Amino acid sequence: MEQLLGQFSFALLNGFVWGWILALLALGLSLIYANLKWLNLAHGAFYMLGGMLVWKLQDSLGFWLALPISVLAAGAFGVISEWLIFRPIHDPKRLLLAAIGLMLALQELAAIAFGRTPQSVINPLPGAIGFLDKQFPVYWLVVAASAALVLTALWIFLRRTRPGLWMRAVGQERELALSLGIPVPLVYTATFGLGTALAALAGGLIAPIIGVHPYMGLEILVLALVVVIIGRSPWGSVGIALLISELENLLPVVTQALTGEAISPTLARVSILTLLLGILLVRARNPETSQS
Amino acid sequence: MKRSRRDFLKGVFGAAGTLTLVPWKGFAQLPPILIGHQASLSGFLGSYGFWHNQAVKAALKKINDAGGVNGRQLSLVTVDGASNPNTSANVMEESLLGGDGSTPVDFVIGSVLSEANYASAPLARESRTPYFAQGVATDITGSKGNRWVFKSYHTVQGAVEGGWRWALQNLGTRWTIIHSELAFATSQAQAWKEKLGEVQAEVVDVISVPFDPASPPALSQYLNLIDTSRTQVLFQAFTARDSIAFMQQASALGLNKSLKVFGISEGVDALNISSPVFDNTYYISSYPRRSDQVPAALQALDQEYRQLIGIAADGQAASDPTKTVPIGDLYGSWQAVHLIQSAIEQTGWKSRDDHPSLILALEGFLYEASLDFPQGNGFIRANDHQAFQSHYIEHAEGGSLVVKATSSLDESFYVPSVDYRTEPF
Repeated sequence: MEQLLGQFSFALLNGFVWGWILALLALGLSLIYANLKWLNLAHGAFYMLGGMLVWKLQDSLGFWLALPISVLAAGAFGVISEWLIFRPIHDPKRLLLAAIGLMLALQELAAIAFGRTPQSVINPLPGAIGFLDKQFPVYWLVVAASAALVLTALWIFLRRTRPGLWMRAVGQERELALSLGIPVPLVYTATFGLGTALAALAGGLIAPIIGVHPYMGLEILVLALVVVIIGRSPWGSVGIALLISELENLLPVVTQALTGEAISPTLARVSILTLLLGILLVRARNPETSQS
Repeated sequence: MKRSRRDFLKGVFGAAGTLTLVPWKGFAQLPPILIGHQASLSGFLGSYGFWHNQAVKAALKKINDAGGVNGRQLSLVTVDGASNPNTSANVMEESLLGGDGSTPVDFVIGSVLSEANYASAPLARESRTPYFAQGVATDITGSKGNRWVFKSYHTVQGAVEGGWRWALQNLGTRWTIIHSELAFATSQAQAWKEKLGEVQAEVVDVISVPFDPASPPALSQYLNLIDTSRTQVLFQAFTARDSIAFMQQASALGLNKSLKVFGISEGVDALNISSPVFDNTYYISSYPRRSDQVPAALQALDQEYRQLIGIAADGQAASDPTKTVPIGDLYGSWQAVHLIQSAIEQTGWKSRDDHPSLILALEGFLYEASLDFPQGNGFIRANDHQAFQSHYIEHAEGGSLVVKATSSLDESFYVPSVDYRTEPF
């Protein structure tokens, strides 16, 4: 019983850690989509940049200084790329192609600069908290708490500040926002910078858990896109990220307790996503629920 | 008659020009021997494929500089299989075996991806081209291979046989196996499960992790399923990306302190293990990473071998100390080239028509430690075309791999599951 409780509690906590990381990434992608109305397929590259820069700077600066510098650098690069690459393009198809091109270019540049081999990133907070028969790493708890804190701050920023109001207004009604004198191009650039900085933060925070390599952006992109599509709004994406991650962690433990055989976490994820997509399709076909 | 300097130079260049226009029968009759390399230059095995290709290039240069093989130069054709089985088989068929209209190569050094070897073995038989697989799944020289397929270094089963005695005596008898669902890792899980059952050790659990390059390696969900109260040894089998994630997450959970973390070196071969997350982990390897850990009898060969490929004494690239060379399995490709050379010299091979006699020469081929075979004495078993060799147990200590034990070539023997000699050419 103690072992089962330990596994259950671990899965619950672990789900939160991965869920908050995914939420950070998905929120960034969703904010850009909500405002600029196109999917930034280069989003994974900014996640990768965050991770790789933390790895590269960690030895000289230490993790806690390397992390904000990497996030700021990736965010600044996001601002520049929006201004330089994406703003002049108006055709949605070309925007997608430009984003894919940027993703591939950044990947290969990172591979040339840092090598293709996966690298280990040192855990900045070694140590674990013991409960039942399990240990839970302190750093992972700090990751979940930091991500939750950042998202709360962002919620306050979007709800309680004038730039936040502008961002929401541009996302909801671009023409009206323009007529009210809101600097829409500046809001676009700021949103893109904020979104890419969130991706870099997710990459930097997760680096001491999974390590880094130049292609890590691709491996998270599909999941982030799925979360954004099912979530349908920035905060909906946060909820879906947490839900998927929790269920993915808990289902194997629950099925093991009930049947003696644990369902694979990957199969759990596929089942959850299929269920959510099913709900989405049903809602889309029902005019009343789709309007709500 | 007085000749000016201009006349003299005209004469010299004229003679040189005439010489170059006259066909030199010696060279005209001896076209190069074509070696194809089905490398995994890009994709998740890119860091392995690059170095295997470097080893093949260095081996060819060494042989060509010494006059070639039976007076013929070796010429290399490299294709990138992108660490993907289908792509690897396609590029082999198209660009190495003449599918695109080019001259077919005479021999193929195969990919390090076991699945690519599986997909390419039938092509080797159909095209009657000797194929030297570099993946380590045991089936490559078993049910998935054929008479045209050779293995120039160990498979998983050989490593298991070479390492189980030491592991059970020194690490423990209650094992949990966690592995990626790739052929090389599944092969390890199966081989260890069978071996542990055979010697009455306990397999507490086998946890299989789907290999998903399109998803971040969230292994903690699987590590949560390990019964730490019953397990003594945690055997892991992952590729480089997942090995890093495994080590980081297992270390954060304290598993490398409470359990003996063990594996076959292929998964970490290209990784820099200076991070503390690798500390106190054990590996069975084919070749020590560090020069000073190589047996004294092989040290001189090791020095020369590393110099020719560009590997420093600590296992890092000589040209770039931040890059780790997968030295543990690299010599498989080096030895494949030298097996081809030896068999050509022994049989007087001249063209693809002579392949059967070359294969017969390689079946049961014995080799002695030399610069051609720097890993030491070994042989190719006639039945299944499998190379046998000695093994090492390496322990990660303070960022370095230290050899704790060595097992002899004899200890790595296992019963062959096939006899390719019954297959007609």
